Amino acid sequence: MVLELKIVKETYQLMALTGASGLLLLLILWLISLVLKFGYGERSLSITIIRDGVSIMLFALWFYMFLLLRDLMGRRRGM
Amino acid sequence: MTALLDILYPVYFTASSPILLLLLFAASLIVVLPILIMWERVLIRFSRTVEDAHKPGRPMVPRPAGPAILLAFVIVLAPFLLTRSVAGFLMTGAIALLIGLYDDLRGLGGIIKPALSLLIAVPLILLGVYNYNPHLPFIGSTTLTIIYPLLMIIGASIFSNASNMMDVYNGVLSSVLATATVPLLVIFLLQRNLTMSVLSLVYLGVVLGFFFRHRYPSKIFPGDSGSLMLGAMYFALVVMGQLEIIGILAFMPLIFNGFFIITSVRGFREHKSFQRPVSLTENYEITANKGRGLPITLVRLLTVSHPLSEKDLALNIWLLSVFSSVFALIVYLLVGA
Repeated sequence: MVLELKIVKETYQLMALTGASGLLLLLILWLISLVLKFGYGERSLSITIIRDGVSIMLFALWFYMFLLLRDLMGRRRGM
Repeated sequence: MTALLDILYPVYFTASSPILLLLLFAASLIVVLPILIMWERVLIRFSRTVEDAHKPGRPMVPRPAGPAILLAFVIVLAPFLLTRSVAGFLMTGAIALLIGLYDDLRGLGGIIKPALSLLIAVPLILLGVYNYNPHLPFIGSTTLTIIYPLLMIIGASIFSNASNMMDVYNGVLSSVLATATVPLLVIFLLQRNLTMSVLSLVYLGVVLGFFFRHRYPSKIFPGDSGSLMLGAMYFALVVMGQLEIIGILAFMPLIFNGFFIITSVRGFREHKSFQRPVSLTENYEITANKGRGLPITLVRLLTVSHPLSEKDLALNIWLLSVFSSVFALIVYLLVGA
């Protein structure tokens, strides 16, 4: 039996976007690591709040990238 | 019971025998299949069936498989129900199952389901089977005493609902979840983390067993109860095994899909409240509906230039999952997590 399966180019594009998004996540984690190193050992509450706040905002940036990826894939095709 | 545990524990959790792990995997596969087949008959007898709208003649398929899948987990993990990690794993799944079951039977609104899903991580938090010092790539060990449990609450809702939104075509959810479990299992084995190896192996076995009934043409659908539960249990594996980033990377196609839908319809809305993103051709192929304002789903993106048969569509989504899982494993090997 011959198995015929169609793999569309959109799948490869999505793979590339998945990889790009994953690498972006790692880049953001690296940035977070720089933020966390700032004031390392500091026990003040305000420093902790700022540090965690910046980390969360950076993480939110990653989710925002999903929107850009969606636009890249969808809007150009009239979605 | 305690005496039995004392005897079984060393054998089960400290033995490094691959044979034992293989036997456990085989047991998971063997247990889930007859339970599912019997449950299908029960569902058919009580007319708990839905149309499979993507096939000629629209055959009726029993739904939901969730309770049968949970029963399989309970049976395989029965000797260890009193351990915190196993109890946390099963209770997380049980809460998701209850939410999904209500949705299957009565229906939940667009916002109520994700809101209720915030409860899913509660057993993990109460049992304390998490580590608020997650080890992240580049960052290393972090201390997130307060933030981590909050992130868990949100994360459980994201994982379970992303899994629910991916349950669109025959065999898609089960194949994607099984594939996404492989990098976790490999890493747990590399780490010689036997508790998590056992849990991920049982998860993989049960999901693969379910795949045999769920694959094209489906004999049973997971329903909201099954999809929410399997997503929640995957989340439990990720949290208890401290593989947060790897779990996110392997789960990427599901997170993409869920996030695309939520942002394109501007919020949490019941799928019946907006126009369908795809439709069927005369040849029973799936094609994207054109026009702005429709939800942007993974399926719609994949079918935008070519209509695809249900089988080809499932294969394309599975390939994305394979890519993400390999990517997650490479990231772990390169930068650790």
